[in-house]
Amino acid sequence: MYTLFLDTHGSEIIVSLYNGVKSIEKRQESEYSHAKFLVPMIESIMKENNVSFENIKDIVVINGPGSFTGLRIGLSVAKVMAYSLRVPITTVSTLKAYLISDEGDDMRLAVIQDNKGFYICTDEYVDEYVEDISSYNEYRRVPQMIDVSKVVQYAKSIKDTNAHLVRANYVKKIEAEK
Amino acid sequence: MKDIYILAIESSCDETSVSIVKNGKEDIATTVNSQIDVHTLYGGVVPELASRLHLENITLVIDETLKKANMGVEDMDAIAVTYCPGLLGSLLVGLEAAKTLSLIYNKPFIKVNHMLGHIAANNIGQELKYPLVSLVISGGHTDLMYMEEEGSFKYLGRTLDDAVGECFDKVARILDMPYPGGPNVEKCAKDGSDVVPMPKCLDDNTFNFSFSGIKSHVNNLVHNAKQRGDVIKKEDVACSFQNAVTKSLVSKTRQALRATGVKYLSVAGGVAASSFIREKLIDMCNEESVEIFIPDKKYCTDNATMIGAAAYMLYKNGEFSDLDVNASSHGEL
Repeated sequence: MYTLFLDTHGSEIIVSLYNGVKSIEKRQESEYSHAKFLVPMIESIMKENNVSFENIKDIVVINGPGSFTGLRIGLSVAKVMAYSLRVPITTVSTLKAYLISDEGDDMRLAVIQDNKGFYICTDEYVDEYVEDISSYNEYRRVPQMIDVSKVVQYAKSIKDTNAHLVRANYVKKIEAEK
Repeated sequence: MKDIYILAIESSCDETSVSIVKNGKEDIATTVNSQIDVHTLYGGVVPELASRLHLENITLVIDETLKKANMGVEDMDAIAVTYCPGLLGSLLVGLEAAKTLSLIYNKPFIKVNHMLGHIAANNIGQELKYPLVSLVISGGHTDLMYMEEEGSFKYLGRTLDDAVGECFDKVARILDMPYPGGPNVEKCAKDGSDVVPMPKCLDDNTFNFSFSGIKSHVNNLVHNAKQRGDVIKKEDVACSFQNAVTKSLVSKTRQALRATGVKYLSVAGGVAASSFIREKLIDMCNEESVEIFIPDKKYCTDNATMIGAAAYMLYKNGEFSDLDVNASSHGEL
């Protein structure tokens, strides 16, 4: 049995089948074409490894922060899949996934920068969006890297979500709501 | 012949809709989750907000539709979805949901142009006759087309600037009416008279439309009156504006019917839900001895039933797509 892992928050799409021991992965660079690649990537990784949908026991998906459009593509697929297959789905924050994928136990900061500021998360605080991160100068910035095996194992330690309630972790409000 | 069931998804603007359509003409079950209440707060559709709401609602709308039909995705013969034109972020949610269903249940995937959907709404509970002239009037389109037969399209004319529905929304806003403008302008116009002079909308020998001039005119009218401290009667402005715009729609459509010599007119799109505009187009068709097809009002505004009806046309021709289709904000027929 496999966990299907999806990450579409950034310019690299990750699709993985994790069998409890190792992660079989497909990674694809995609600037603005996540919709073109994602479903065919799932189709081919399953075919190539002889995995059918009956072999998928749960889904883990990165739900942000990150590209709003990228996230929605991954989450639309993930939630419809969890709903259709009636399997548990767990969402993991992008920043949390960076922290989990990093080895260190020092003061760590996960960061995603956009044109106006920074999405940040430390081991103590949850995701937030700030314009200035100078107060975090003492923290070490962890690499923007996702280790699928570690993230899936972490996902097993947290609560899954009802498929209908799967949402993106945008962190930022939209302009009109401010 | 075996009955064909298509599950269709529509999410191109601010309604998340899923429908199960039998043989392209029978609405087995449809759910439309409209975001109008939310977007009204902002005076129009906020694209990022629309996309967020589509993602929140998509599985709920699929689930409700299947339950109403008492069917499962395994009972479908194909999965269809709007892939263009529309708001990109909104389209992508429906598109990816449809692809996922197609992959899991191993069903043929059909991508549908939203505009074909509007026209195909006229096959629900009735059947279009060809050759015809098609008038699609909505918040994004004002298109006159000639259709020799099902699936063939020749553009006769279109709006050179604002779509007619867009113009209604903007004028509604100028008159301090909430979004969506069409129904509110129509309601208000009922209590007014056609006494406010309006410029004629593009009156030439092409089949094109133009509505930005009349919109600016209403804007100036209201603005100047405010500055002078004059009181203008909103009802009269709404009535005069609606009359002028409708006259343009009717006269250009009449010209297109005469020039092509066809005896059938298909009217579709959200603006076709306006009782006033429906009535004037029906009157014109009676005068011209033309048979008119207009969908029920609920199939004029965005819905997935029309996408299922359009998908059936493609299904018959074996026009299926791979799962690497991307969404597009534009898209001609």
